[in-house]
Amino acid sequence: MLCSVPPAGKSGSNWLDRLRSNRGFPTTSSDNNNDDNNDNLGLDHFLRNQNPSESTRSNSGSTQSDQERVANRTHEKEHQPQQQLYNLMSNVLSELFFMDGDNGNTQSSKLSGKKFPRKQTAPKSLTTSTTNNNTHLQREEEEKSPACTPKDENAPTTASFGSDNRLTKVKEGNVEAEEEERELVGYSASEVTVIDTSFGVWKSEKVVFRRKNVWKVREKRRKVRSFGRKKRKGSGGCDVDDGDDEIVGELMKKPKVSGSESVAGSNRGQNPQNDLREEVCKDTPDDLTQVPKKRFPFSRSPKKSGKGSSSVILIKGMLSSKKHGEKLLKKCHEDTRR
Amino acid sequence: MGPVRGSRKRKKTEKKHEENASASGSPEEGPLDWWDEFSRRINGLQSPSKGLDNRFESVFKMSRKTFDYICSLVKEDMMAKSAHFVFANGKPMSLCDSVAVALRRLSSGESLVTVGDSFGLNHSTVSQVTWRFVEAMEGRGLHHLKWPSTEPEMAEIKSKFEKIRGLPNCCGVIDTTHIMMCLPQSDPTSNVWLDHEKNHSMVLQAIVDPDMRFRDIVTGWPGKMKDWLVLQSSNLYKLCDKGERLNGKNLKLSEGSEIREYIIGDSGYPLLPYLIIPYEGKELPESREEFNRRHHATQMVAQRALARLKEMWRIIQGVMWRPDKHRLPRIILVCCLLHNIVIDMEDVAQDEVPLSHDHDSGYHQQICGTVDIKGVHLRDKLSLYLSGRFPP
Repeated sequence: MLCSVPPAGKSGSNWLDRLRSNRGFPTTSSDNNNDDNNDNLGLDHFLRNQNPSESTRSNSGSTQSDQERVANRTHEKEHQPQQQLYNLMSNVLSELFFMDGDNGNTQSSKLSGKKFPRKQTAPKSLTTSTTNNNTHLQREEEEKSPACTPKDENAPTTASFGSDNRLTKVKEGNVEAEEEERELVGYSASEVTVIDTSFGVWKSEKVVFRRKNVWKVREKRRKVRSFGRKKRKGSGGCDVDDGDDEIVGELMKKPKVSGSESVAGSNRGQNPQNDLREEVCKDTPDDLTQVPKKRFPFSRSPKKSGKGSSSVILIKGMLSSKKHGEKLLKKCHEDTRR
Repeated sequence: MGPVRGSRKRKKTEKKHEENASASGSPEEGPLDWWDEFSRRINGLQSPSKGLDNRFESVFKMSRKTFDYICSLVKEDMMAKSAHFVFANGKPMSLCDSVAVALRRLSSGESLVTVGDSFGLNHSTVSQVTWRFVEAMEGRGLHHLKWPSTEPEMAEIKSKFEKIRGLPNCCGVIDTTHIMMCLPQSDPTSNVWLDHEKNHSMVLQAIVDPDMRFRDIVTGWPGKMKDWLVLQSSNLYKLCDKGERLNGKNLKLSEGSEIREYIIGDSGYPLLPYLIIPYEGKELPESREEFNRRHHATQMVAQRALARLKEMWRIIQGVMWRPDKHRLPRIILVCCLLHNIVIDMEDVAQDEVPLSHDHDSGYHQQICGTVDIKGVHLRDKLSLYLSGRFPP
């Protein structure tokens, strides 16, 4: 299964070869021996050739024998379905690596001399997002400096309070959750019980993440799901209150709650960037799980623990809350357009 | 430990004597009211020099009528639970006893031990009774704290605000106060509660009507969160943004000029289309100075309400010793409910509480600085209108 190390006498092994020789990376041939149709899908092929139809030409400037080998192979087997598959795969790869989409000259220049970082600095999920979001995230990270914090002394601005156009990303599942976790590294977490009499559900459990003046609020149940994991990771400042273990335990004991977590997670994921930053409209996640909270009013008193409702109601609540969240998102869009 | 135990024993025996004496010595009183019996009991527990003022109002800061109403509110929940509480002498606590203990704990701010000693209870019983009362009040008393739901109700509020200093169509005053806590410095989780004034605190944001009633509260957020962040995180903010609150009748000032419903707040809040803050800066034109004066006078309602809240319910005044941060917001809520109930019952006892406006001493005015252009227009319009220079 492993690729053969390129024969001696070649013009010096590149990083890919070295990686392969150390069994670190599957090769084109290894994976594709059984199915020749897939030959074009080798990794190095994609890295070196953005377009299969140009593959032979693109290698003209390269002296790498490895490249030639790949190029020849590609040249032989060029079919339409492969092209589609190829485009798909190159999109995927371009999400992960810097691929200029240009010809082999650039490639060879990279290989020969100047070193460019291969990996994207902040690779994002491949499921739904677009490339623009990626830079977006980075920019937001930069903006988390105190510069974006409330301007106490500054002259008044006429910015529409609460307009934030960055609440648009809709992600789902674990990928998003992991990203969010990554985003929260360095934040200190505290669990709080918040009472807001404007809500039909006036009491809710939240987790507040804070780093300097940046606040992020998440629903508590979410943390319950990733609680053990977070703890193992031992992420620096993520401490929890004394009583929280007890609370977490109590919540985890409720199968209805944990059963709905995936729904809750995806709902919450709609607004991973809803930080409580100054001049930023915050926090749709709060809304999103308000309804289920109603169904499970938390009480530290054991006397109340018996209270609960059917999971049917819970799901219903979730759906409606999701809808509400989307509405809010839409609102935020409108704000930014204003 | 020894001397304390001894003194308790002494107190108990004294109390028994007192009970016997009262039982035999006052036959002319007829059937004993709960309060008569209760006051005797608590007075018997006090040394003569420290004896409580015997009046009901001074013990509970409310009239007997209000007390009875609160008892009726929580009766079902307080008495439904299986475990019944008992005094230290084994006597079971009645509903009134329980409510009295809880109210005393909330209103005096005294420690569990002090309250327990003055009522002849174990301090843990005081804690349990108070918590049960808090839970019961949350469930039963929430209708005393709600946003005005009918148009006549809102019209009355607006009219009362206008009577204060002429602000037309004003629906409420928003303000924030801090409930201070004493948390262990060594605990890293305490850090998030450390506010900008270097106190550990929890925030209470309230919107107050002209009668000093709380109409909307948000609490539970760490004191480090600034006023405008608490507002932003509130549902009120979202509702107003969506046009689902403060969306009532516009007031016609003149031909073609109307003002919408709004609330007012201090400079710690943003200027929004529905939230009007004072003009900033020095040497303002006279019309703006005048507006600021009126704004400030109207805003005092909220400051007084928060000061009275803390004055009447002293458990949230001063610095709480290592409170449970999940329970504290619920205690704050119940104090706000009790505050409103006293107002709703038109209780004269509230007049005995001195009026102050210093609810957050040691906290400096925050400046948000965010301005919405619609808010600017509304504020200018109000300023012109109040200075009498509004075109007819």
